[in-house]
Amino acid sequence: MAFSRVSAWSPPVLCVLGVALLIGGGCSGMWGGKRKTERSSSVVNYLYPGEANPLPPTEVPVLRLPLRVGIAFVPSGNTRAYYQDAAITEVQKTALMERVAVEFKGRDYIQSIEVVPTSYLRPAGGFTNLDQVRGLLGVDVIALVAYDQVQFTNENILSLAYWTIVGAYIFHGNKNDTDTLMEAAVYDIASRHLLFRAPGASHVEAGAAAAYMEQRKRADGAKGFELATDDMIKNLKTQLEAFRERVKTAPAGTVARIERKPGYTGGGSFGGGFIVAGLLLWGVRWWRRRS
Amino acid sequence: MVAVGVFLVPAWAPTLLYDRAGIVRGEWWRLWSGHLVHFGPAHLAWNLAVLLPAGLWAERIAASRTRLLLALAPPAMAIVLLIGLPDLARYGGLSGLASALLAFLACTQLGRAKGDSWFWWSVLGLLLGKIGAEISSVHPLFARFATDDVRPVPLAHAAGLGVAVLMALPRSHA
Repeated sequence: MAFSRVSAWSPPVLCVLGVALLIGGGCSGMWGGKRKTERSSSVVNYLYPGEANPLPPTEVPVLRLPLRVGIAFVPSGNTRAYYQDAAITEVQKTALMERVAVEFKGRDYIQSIEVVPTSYLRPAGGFTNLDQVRGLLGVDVIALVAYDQVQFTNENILSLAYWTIVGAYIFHGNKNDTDTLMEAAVYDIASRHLLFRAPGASHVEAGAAAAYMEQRKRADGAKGFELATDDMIKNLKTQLEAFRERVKTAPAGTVARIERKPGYTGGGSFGGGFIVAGLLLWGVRWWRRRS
Repeated sequence: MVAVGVFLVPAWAPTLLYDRAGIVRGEWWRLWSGHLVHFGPAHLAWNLAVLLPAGLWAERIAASRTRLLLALAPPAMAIVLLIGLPDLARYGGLSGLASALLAFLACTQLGRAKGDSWFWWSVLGLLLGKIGAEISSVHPLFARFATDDVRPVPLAHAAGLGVAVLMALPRSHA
């Protein structure tokens, strides 16, 4: 009975139904399913391209204070996007590097911090490229910032509303997870020595309607970089202090040799030790005179 | 008092600081005024803790020579720094003068032979020990100044000690 009723549908009706299914399926394929977008750059790939076992530098770095520091994003040579997306833009990179630079300006042992545009670095440029940057910009030490950002997109129950077309603009049927890991590796260019490194990480979760998903992903990506930069700045400060402490406590010249550029500032001062020793002497003199 | 005033008005510091380039240009007042500039409250406080008692005591026992020392020691030390440390661009601090006053006091007291010469020899030894420790220090970067970029200059203390001994010796021998 039912079959006879279906078979009774006219060919135009069946065509309309078929087209609707095709469109719906296409939309579902376009909006639905799990997706992963990954963007990354690597300090190792940049500095040691094609080297399986890079040899560690043998000479002790000589840091001539005050230092001229460069900060640069390592060029990305490894962008894999299942759903091609705009990577972090040059403007975003510059803004993030400026934020890092501001945090470290005003320290007396840092003469200047130069934000190095990515265009100065070429993929897999290695230390030869860094020597060029050193010559061009006159930096002694460079902080190379690498990143790895992975974005996962999943659908939830609300994505069923996408079948209505209008629902794709209204209901947040997609959930984006953005994991960002950044790392700043600070190198003395002349000695090719890694002085210290500091990581920064962030996790961002957000929902989005299908029609605005790419917009949402870009916003999440930018927020991920912002939060990871905050974390990295915090860790950079800690690592910088730890490095200074290592230079201070390690036997002379084992971690780094500190030298002064011509034109340093000098001062003379008496410390607490001198005053205490003087007071002790005075006390002994007073006691002896009394007795 | 003047050093405290200079410290409280930081705008004066660039004009008064020992600035090698400025002195070479003919800003001769820096030979004296450079010693009045300090790089932090602790820097000023420690120097005054030595300079004030030593200066007051020295003035009480040898007023005219102490004033002469106060007038001559600052430029003498600055000239030694100009010649001996060509890389030293800027210098500040009363410690050189405090060293000079302390050494002058010790030498003067030793010349008077009042019975506690061991104490004044110990003071001189302490001063020499401090200068020696500064010269042999391997980590000048992490000194006790408020800013890391200021490096101790033991030559200033040595020069102060030298000037003081030169001024105290003729009287001691007399």
